Amino acid sequence: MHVRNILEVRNLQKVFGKGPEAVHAVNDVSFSIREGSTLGILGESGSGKSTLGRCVLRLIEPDSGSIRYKGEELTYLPNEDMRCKRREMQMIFQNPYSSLNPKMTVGENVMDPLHIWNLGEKLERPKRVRELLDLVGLSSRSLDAYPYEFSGGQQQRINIARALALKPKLIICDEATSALDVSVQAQIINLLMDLQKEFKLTYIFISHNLGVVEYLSDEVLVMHDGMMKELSTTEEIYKFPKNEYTKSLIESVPKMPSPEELMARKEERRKLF
Amino acid sequence: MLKKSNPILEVKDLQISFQTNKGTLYAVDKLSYTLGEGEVLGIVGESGSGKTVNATSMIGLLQGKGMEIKGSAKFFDADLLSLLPRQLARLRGKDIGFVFQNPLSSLNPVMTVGKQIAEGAVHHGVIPKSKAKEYAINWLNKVGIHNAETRYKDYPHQFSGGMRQRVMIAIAMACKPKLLICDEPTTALDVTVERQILDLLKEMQAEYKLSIIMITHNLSIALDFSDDLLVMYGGKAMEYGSAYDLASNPQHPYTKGLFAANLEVGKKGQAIGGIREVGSDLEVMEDGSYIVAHGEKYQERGQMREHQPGHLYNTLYLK
Repeated sequence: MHVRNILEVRNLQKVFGKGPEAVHAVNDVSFSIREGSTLGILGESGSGKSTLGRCVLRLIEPDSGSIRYKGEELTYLPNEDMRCKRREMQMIFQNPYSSLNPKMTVGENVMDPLHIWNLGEKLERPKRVRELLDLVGLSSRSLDAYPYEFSGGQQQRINIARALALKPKLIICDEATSALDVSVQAQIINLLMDLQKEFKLTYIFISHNLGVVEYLSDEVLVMHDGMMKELSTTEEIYKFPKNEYTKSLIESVPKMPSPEELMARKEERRKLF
Repeated sequence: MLKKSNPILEVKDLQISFQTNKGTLYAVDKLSYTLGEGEVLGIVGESGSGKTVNATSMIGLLQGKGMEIKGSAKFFDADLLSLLPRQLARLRGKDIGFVFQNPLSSLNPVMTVGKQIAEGAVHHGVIPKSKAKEYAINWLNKVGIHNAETRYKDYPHQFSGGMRQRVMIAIAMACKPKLLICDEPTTALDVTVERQILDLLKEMQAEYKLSIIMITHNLSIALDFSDDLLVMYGGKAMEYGSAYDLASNPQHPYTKGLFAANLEVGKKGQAIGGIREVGSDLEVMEDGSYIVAHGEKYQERGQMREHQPGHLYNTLYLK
C-alpha cells in the first residue's frame, strides 16, 4: 500500500542576525514524513532542532525553502490561511506548566481551542472536553481544578488533551518528556504511542535524549550546528551510524553495564581491601 | 548494613523532617548507608525522593526553622549531625567537596574562576596565599581547560556549560577532599559533554582515591559509575546493595519499575513503564500513617530486610 508523505520540507533555511554575527540556525534542511509515522529530530542544545520545529509551523518565519503539507505549499500562505492550517498541526512543549494558562481551569484550557475555532455546539463542548481528558487518562474531576494543582506528568497530559482538541494530523513534540521523571516519562511516551495508533497521528519528536528518540521514532534526523548530519531509519542511525558526529553522539550515551562488567567491578574492589 | 573494612561515612537511621502546614513531612526517613574509602555510592530516585536533601542537610547546607534532623552520620570519627556549625564549616569544602547540577548558579558571577578555585584552598590553609595563582592554574590544567594561564582571569559567564562544570570540579577538588558529593552533575549538560565530565570525575576518583556520592535520576549513569546503589523513594531507601546485585536481581518493585522505565538506547520495541504516577507529596496523617499522592494509605513505615548479605530491600509498598 502506498503511504503518502504528509509533510515534505526542502532546503529550509533560517538565519538569525546579520553579517559576521549571523547564526545559521537551520541550514539547508530537507526531510519528509509519511503519514502516521514518527520522525525524531536529535541534537544537542543549540543545534537548531527547536527552530526547525517552529519553522515547520511558521511560528518562526523561515528565510527560504519549501514546506509542503499534504502537497500544499505553506511558505507562501497568508498569515490568516496559515493560522487555519495550524488547526491540523499542534505543538507540545517541554515545560508543561508554562504552556498552560495558569488563570484558566483545566477544563477551560482544554476547551479554549474549541472556543477559538467555534467548534461544535457551545453546550456540547464540555462533553467533548471530558472525552479528551478521558483519552489522556485524567478524570473529569480535574475539570474545575487549576494547572498548578497537578503534577508535571498530569500537566503534560492536559497539554496533550488540548493539542488533540482540534483533531490534528501532525503533532510536533518539542522536548515533551524532558522535564519529567523517568517513570512519568515512560507513561507519557506510552500515551503518545497509543494515541498515534488510535488517530493515525504523525509526530515530529524533537529531543536531545537518544534513548527516547530511538524508542519513539521510525526515522531520525540528526542535527548539529543548524545542519542536518544524517537522516535515516532509526535502526540505521543507531546501529550503523555513518556520520562522525552521529557516531560521537551514540558513543557518548551512558550505557548500562552488563552484569558481567558489574561483577568484575565488584570483584576488583574486594581485592583492594 | 553492609560491613566495610574502612568506612569513611556511616549514616545511621537518618531522619529529616519539615514542619509544614499539613503536618510533619519526612523528607528522609530511617536512611542508613555506608561508604568505604575510594568507593562510589550512587543514590537514585525521582524528584522528591529525598536524595538531595539527605546529602545537603547532613553537612549543614540546608538549615532552617521547622527542620529537624535525627540519627547519626559518622564521617571518619566525627558525627556530622552533632558538630558545631563552625566545626562543620571546617569540614565543608575541605574534606567534603560538592559539585552541583547548575554550574552557573553555583559559581560566583563577579569573581574570576581562578580566584574561586584558590579561595577555598587558601581559606582552609591547604596552600599559602602567595601560591594561589599557580595553584589555580594547575587545577585548571588538571580538569582539562586549555590556555589555563589566560583563562584563569576569566569570569564564569565566559565559559560554556561543560567548562563551567569543569571549573566546579576544580573548585571542589582544590582542597583534596576525601568525599565528593555530586548532585546531578551532568543533568544540565549535552550528552557529549556529559561523557567528558563523567570521564573527568572517574579520573579524579582513581587519582585521589576519592569517595563519591553520585546523586542522579539517571540509572544508566549511576550504574556506569557506582560500586553500590541506593534506590530512594518518598524519603526512604527502597533497596540498597552492590550495583551488581541490584542490576542483576532487584528485589523491590520500585527498583524493578525504575529499570523498566529507564529508556536507554536499545530498548526500542520493548514495553516500558511499570511505575504508577506518584506525585512528590507525601502527606502525613494525624495517626502517623502516610498518604502517597495516588491516595493509598500506609500504616507501617517499612523495614529493611536482607535478601542476601549486603543486599537490602524495604518491606514498604511490597504487594
